[in-house]
Amino acid sequence: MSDFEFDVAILGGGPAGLSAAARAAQRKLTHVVLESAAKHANTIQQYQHRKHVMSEPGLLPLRSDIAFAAGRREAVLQAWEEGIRKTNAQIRYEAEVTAITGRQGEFSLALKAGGAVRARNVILALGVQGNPRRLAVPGDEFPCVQTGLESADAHQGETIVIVGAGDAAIENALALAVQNRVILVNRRGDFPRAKDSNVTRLRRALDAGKLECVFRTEVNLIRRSPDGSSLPYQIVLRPPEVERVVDCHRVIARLGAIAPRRFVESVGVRFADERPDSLPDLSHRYESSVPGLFIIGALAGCPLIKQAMNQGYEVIEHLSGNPIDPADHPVLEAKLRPLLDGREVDAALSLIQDSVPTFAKLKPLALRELVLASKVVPVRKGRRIFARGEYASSVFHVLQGQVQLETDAGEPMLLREGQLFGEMSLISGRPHEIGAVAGPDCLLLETPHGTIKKLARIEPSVRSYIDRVFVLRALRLMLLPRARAETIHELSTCAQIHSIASGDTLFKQGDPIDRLYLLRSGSVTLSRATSAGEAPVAYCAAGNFVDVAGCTPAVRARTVTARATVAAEALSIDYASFRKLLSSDEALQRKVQVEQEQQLAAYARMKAQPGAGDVLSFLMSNGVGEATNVLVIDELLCVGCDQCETACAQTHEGVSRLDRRAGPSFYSLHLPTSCRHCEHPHCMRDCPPNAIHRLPDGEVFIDETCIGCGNCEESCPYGVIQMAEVPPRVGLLERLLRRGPTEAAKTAVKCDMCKDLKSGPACVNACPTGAAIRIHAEDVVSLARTRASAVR
Amino acid sequence: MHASFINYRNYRYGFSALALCLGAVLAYVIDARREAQSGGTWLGYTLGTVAAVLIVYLALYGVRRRSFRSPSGSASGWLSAHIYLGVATLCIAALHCAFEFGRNVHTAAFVLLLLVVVSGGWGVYVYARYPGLISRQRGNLSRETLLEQLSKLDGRARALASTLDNRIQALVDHAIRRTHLGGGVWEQLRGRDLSAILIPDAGRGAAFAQIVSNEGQHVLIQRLAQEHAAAHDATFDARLQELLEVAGEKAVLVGKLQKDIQLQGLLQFWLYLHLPLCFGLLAALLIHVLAVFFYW
Repeated sequence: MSDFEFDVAILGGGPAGLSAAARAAQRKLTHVVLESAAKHANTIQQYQHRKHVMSEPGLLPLRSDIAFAAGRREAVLQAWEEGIRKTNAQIRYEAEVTAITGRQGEFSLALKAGGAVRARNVILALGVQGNPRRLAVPGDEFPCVQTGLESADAHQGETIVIVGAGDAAIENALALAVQNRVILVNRRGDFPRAKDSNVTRLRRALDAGKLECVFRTEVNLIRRSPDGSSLPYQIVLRPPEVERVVDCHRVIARLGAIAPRRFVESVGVRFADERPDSLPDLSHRYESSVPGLFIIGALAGCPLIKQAMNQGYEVIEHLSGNPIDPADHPVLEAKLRPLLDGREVDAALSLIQDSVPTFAKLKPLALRELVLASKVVPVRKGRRIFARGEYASSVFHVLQGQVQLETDAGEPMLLREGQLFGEMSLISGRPHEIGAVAGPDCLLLETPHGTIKKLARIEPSVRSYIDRVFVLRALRLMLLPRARAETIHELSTCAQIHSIASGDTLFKQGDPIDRLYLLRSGSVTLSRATSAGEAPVAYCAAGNFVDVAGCTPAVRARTVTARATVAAEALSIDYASFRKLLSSDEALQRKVQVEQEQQLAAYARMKAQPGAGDVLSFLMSNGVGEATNVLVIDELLCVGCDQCETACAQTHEGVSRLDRRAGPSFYSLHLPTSCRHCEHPHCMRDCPPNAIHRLPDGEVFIDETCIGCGNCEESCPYGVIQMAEVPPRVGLLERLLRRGPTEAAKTAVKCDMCKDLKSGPACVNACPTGAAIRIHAEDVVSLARTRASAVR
Repeated sequence: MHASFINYRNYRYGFSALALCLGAVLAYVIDARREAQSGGTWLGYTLGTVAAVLIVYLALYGVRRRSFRSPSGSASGWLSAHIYLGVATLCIAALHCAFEFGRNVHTAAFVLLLLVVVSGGWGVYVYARYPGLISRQRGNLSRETLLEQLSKLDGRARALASTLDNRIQALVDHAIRRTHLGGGVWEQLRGRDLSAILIPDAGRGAAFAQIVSNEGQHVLIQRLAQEHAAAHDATFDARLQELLEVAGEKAVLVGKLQKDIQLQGLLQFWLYLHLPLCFGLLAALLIHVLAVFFYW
């Protein structure tokens, strides 16, 4: 040991690294934190001033010698600074490590500034955002060039050039445009990396002339302005045609961070696969494929501060010869109680992994995360788990016992241990097509949609398993309820899944009919080409066949174009196989014939009313295609009394969740800014405390555990979520004694469809003239048709 | 889909009110054979009680309108009932007093009821007709959007005028500053364009100016057209042409906004009669009932 300077070297002075260092100091391990920046917690230092820092997940206890609680950025940073001082954690600032060589017991860390640090063990707590990418053009070093923005309010009346096409660039540009002249420079022609909501906000601001955006343009150089210029710097841009010089005060480069993956791989650490978001292979003690080299925090796939701090603590305990259970152990123990039966938590987790094929290939850490977010629920025999027609917010796996799926036709399907159900609603975002009833000794793992969707994004094996189950079940339920299992398996081998972006086509008019499509999520409009462009003739929602009407032997080519109204997915089978099936299955023949008749009649009716197609296009272009419940105001009846807004405010702590005046109108139909309770709620995608839920009737609501992070507000493309100061409930006595909270915290508020009112949505109920109604996306066609006949 | 307060649940309250009126008329005709009708007969008292209960029920619509958690049915259902039963009340009250009118508090109550029903009828007419007019003339745009467009047009006009000479700049600036929208109740309801403009007073020399009406931006357009006709510089000419077009667009927009304000005003104005009359009716009804029982 005397040959080496440190027992442990910690790369990165963020929360994970600091917590590890503080514990090492307590355990009397010789240690050093090597932080490339000049301050601790560099990422959080770059947050905007007074930004609220969250301490999720609430269930998990904090295990660290350094204090941490949710609060303002300044308070959090100060607490850590005090923690460093009190625990005597050793940190070297501006010490960037360029290479790590050696092996356990004799690692050598080369520093950029020269020299090396030797350590027996290494902890990588680098985070994923620490190293902002710079412009790398002449003049990049001028003080006017920055890679972050602390506070937009600090700048007024300046000319600021922002370079980048991601969310950070757009958000900075929008915030600064309020009080400054802003020019956003984008190397590409669009914003593929940015959230839809940000792109929408940007386009609105561009249309309103609030800022300028130049596309397909790169930065050539930055220089000081010649004497006599009013602005101190000049940035030279290189659009496709001719060079352009912009006088400016400041340049902000928001080009993302240099991911440390290459550096980590250079040390010898293996990653799960080649995808950019894949994670390093780690043991349950956070040890990588290189013995003695540990990875914690965001780099290990745990972006939450508390988790990262706990991991720092646990690694040091492990290195001190005191391997303790992870901090989530007691939480997991409580969750898994029905499954434990004398087993240890790890054994119960292995049991889940062995019996549930969906999770067979999950890494231990990912499985723990999944179970932490899920519930293990025993269900009595005969009890209904969900009914047909109910909206879903979870998927289920059978851990023990049996479950019966009730289908419309044919025998009920019997599910056994390890099998998945509820996947159809997960994918379609629509109500359950079938019901599920518990069999004997039934124990289920119930996982929220948000968790499983996130897992499917980062773990391809989960995605492909769910898809496989979906294909088999969809073929059975929608097409061949009475077919033998082998037939379905055979057919599933030729099935394909197609993802279509909003506005793209699944097929075009005139295309040969080679596949039968079943829409599994999103919706499409079917339209025919006319002299005035495309005229919609039908709307097709998830769970339906697309243009079965065209699938008759006499028709060789598509007579309609199918265009996605929102991001959609379709399952398809080869048309030849379908025809073969059709000839041998009379029930299927009848079913297809009925659908064909209905679709052909619908096409004809729509075509007879040209205005209806226009109304349908308007509704679809405003996102009604993904709505489960949308407020539509008839302007022919609306007297502008604002009773809808007043009713909303009066029933929701004085804050109206709808803005009647805002929103588009067409054919005297008005879509006010109000929640549409989307099939796949955008707001639920990234809610750290899982505070957004969906009720069986479809209502999407935010509960009181909202921490006010604003993710949902940003994710919602329809601008229906607002961050509002809901006044705290303070009792009379507390008010008299001036105790209790005085400052209202900002939380996200949105329409909850008045789920607690027996009389239904207050906005609709309070409308005196019947102008306000709430409809489902499936009603749009009849709405379009009645509108077209009402307004001429 | 959308169902208006008029045909709520297939005229449920319309038919109920009709049945009530027919029942009352039938009872009146039958009872008239037995004895001469007046407010003091058995049927008179019954019809009076029914009418009084109906008036109280009709007034409760105001309470229902403000109770947003009420489980007692939708507001549009209540409004539908309010309208049809209101008309029925007038019929029943007339039968109640057996068409006997005089110069007394009882007839005053009836007259007030009549005025309330007539003002309500006006309300039904404007609620049924004006929203469509407003929507159509706004053409899918909100008033806020129209105002934004106006401010953009003004900005463009100012920017264009700033490149022309001082006279035109002053003319445009005065026209913008004296563009008139809204105003007092009467002005809103009349919907006349009271926009004005400051122009040089030709009679008194260049140093004097006078304010004249600029209704429909007429004077501004006329003056700009004169300048245009007299202009010889090509650039100057092109900018003036553009400025003229902007003034034309603005005239249309101001007209649209004025019409919108007028229609919105008319949409609400009847309520300012209906509500005080309602309170007057309730007071008169109370005096009527007390007086009847006092002299019984």
